[in-house]
Amino acid sequence: MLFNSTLFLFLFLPVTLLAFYTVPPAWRMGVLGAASLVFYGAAGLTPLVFLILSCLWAFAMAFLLYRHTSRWLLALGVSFPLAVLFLFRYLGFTLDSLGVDEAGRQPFYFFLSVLLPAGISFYTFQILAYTIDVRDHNRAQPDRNILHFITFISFFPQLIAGPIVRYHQIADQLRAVTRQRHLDPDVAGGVKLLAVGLFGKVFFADMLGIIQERYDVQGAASALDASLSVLAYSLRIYYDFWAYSIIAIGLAKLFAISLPRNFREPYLSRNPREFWRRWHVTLSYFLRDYVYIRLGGNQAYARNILFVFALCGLWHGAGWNFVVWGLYHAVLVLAYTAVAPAWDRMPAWLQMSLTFLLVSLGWPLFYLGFADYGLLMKTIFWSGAWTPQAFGPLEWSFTLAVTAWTFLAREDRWLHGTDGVTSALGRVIGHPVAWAGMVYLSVLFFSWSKTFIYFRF
Amino acid sequence: MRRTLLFLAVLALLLGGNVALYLAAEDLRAHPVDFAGLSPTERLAPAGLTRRQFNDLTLGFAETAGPYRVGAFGTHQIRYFGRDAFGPDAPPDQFFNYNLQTLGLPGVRDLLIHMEARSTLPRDLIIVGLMTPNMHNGNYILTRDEDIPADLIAAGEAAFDGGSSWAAAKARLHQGAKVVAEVLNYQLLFNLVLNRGKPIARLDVEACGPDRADAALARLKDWQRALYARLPVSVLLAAGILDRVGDCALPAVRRLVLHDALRADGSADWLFGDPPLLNEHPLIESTRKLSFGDEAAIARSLRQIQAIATRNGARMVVVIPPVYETDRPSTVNRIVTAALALVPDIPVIDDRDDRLPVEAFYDHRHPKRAYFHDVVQRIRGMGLLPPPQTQTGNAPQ
Repeated sequence: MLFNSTLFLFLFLPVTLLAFYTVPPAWRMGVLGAASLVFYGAAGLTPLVFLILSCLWAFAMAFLLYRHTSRWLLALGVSFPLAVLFLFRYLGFTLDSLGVDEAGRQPFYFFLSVLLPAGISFYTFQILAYTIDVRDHNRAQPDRNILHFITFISFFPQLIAGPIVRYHQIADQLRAVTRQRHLDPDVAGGVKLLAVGLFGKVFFADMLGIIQERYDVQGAASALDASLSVLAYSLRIYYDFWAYSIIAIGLAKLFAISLPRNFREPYLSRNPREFWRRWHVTLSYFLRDYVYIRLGGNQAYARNILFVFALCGLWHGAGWNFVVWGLYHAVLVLAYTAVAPAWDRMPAWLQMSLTFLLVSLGWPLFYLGFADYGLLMKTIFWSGAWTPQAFGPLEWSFTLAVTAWTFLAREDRWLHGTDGVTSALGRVIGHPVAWAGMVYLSVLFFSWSKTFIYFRF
Repeated sequence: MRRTLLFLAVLALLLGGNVALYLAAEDLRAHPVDFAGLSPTERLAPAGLTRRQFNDLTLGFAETAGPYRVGAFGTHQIRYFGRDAFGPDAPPDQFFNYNLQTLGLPGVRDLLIHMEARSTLPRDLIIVGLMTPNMHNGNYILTRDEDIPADLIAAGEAAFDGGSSWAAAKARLHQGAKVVAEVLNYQLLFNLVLNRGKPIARLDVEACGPDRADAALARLKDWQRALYARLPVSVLLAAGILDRVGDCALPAVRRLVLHDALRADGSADWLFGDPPLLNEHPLIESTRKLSFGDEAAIARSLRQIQAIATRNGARMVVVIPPVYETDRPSTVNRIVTAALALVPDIPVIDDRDDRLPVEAFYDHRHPKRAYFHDVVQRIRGMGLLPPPQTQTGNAPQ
């Protein structure tokens, strides 16, 4: 089920809210859990079955791991969720890499033909984090309530595309909703985020998607066209994922649950290292806490950075292009570390521009193979053809307008007001009539809106 | 709470406007257009119609006119399959193209059941256009709900799945969802607000010769041409822009107005678009729409269609057109191949592996009219069609 659908907005969400706030407090967890499973099961029963099996496995293993901290038991504890992830996500890639023919693939036909379960990477990481935290006695004890645990993993606002939530961040909140008779949800805040997120998805991300998808790497095009395509995708993937996260936070607020922010204006980063403290923050923290530090952290800085980012790339997609993308960011981080004193002396605007440029040049690996990526880069840097052919003034104007918005409109002020200052823009967007207008317009254009990009991860 | 209530009130007001517009929209299924009454040079332009209304043009005709000798059923991919494929002397009742935008196999079945009940089912041959799996990564093969009304769904379910109350409830849910999707759509605003009171455009493509059309276009400035090319046609019509362009207003921008306009045989005209680019990109697994188990569902739908055809004395053939692509092995192709293996007695013209040249396509998804000429020849070669007749038959009812 998609957030940007009338089914979700006008049926699923109102019914869930109504049920949540009318049942006795002790039943609220059941409502949330059931709704979350229905939300996920709408895409198919097979993915739902494997989600539940992974939850049951982790739930049971937690009790063993809390008492016995052997590494072998930990390996067993994470084996089932990782096996599910591998079979549904990485089996095809592995068979391709090994050059296995059709006959060799037949035994795996079931896993190869079942649709990729949405959000499998997200909930698997959430399960892994829980399992490790319980084993390490790190702010987590085995959850004794299976319904509570399944609701924690499957909580529908963040199930499919994050933020990746740690157990300690949400467990107490979930318990609170079953204990407190009168909840005090931030409904207005939640509605505002929902409206802004939907609008951003339809009119920023999907509009940019229309522009970016019109560009064909194989076609005759100029360096300017190729550059616009790269810029459009860079903005598209940001607003697509940002919009989802904003909607997720807003939806959670409606149920009196607070989720962490996942984006902190990442394109205002001044260097590649800072970028990963602002982009998909919860994934960065996961990789830092559960991979980087456990590998030794700064004691083997270069090696660990390369490994962590390669893993990050692989998490994003089952393909060597994703691994290369991850390694590309590893090289950026290592290179910045090497030249940091000189880099940091540059004017802030130059630091931001270079960081944005370097990050943007990596994004096309998300949707292009190596040959096409090479062709794209060659078109941008070596074609010498600068006459626009694929895109006209309309496409340029829109993309540059979104670029200007990205760099000039401070989200912290107009959306979050975190520094105590709310801009004039923020006061306008903070008005209920604006929310209604944004939701209305977004709904009207749902028919040409697309699935969130990060749903495929 | 006050702010939330204000939000809900304003939203309800805005959505209520859409509901009012919807209720005022003309029901083209209840007042069907007579395709058979169109002359060879006349077209029904899609401008100003919502998707439901455009589908209802075909549906309304399907349930009131016929039976034709041959009918083609499928998605927009077969939209350019016309009566001309049967030869220049094909009689008016030879062929009708009942394509709907995203009509999958279950939808074809439901439509056939409905036509059977109305005695408008094609007499000799039912051609089922199965969307090429690689085209949309398996989508629109097992779908039906986008374009088939709930009463047809319910009838189809009742005929083959026992007619349970659950099936009827499901059909009503689908209808409700379709109505909501129709009401909450920008097209409704554009088309109904801007085109209220205007009749469906029935245009004669020969009214203005191409030289007069080109002269009218030449009078436009570059920015006007660029802008008009991007505006919805309904906006152009409603704003009177087409009237102001020149004395051959409609033909002057006829590429905008007449693209995908419907002919008397239900097929459409392709008038503009970028030349096809060879599709070399691998299909993305995460967007795949066919899954394990769908082989049986595809085969079941084909068997049900075959049963309808057989009991009415008609034959059936499945056509899978090519798309303009390189070799792209895919899971969806494997699933469809497995499905066809379950129904080996159903004739299939499977052109998935045909790497036709670029000249055979309008764009990378749509083969040209000439392709369907070849398809008809092959169908005749399979003995599924009677030999061509001279024009002696009566026009459809």
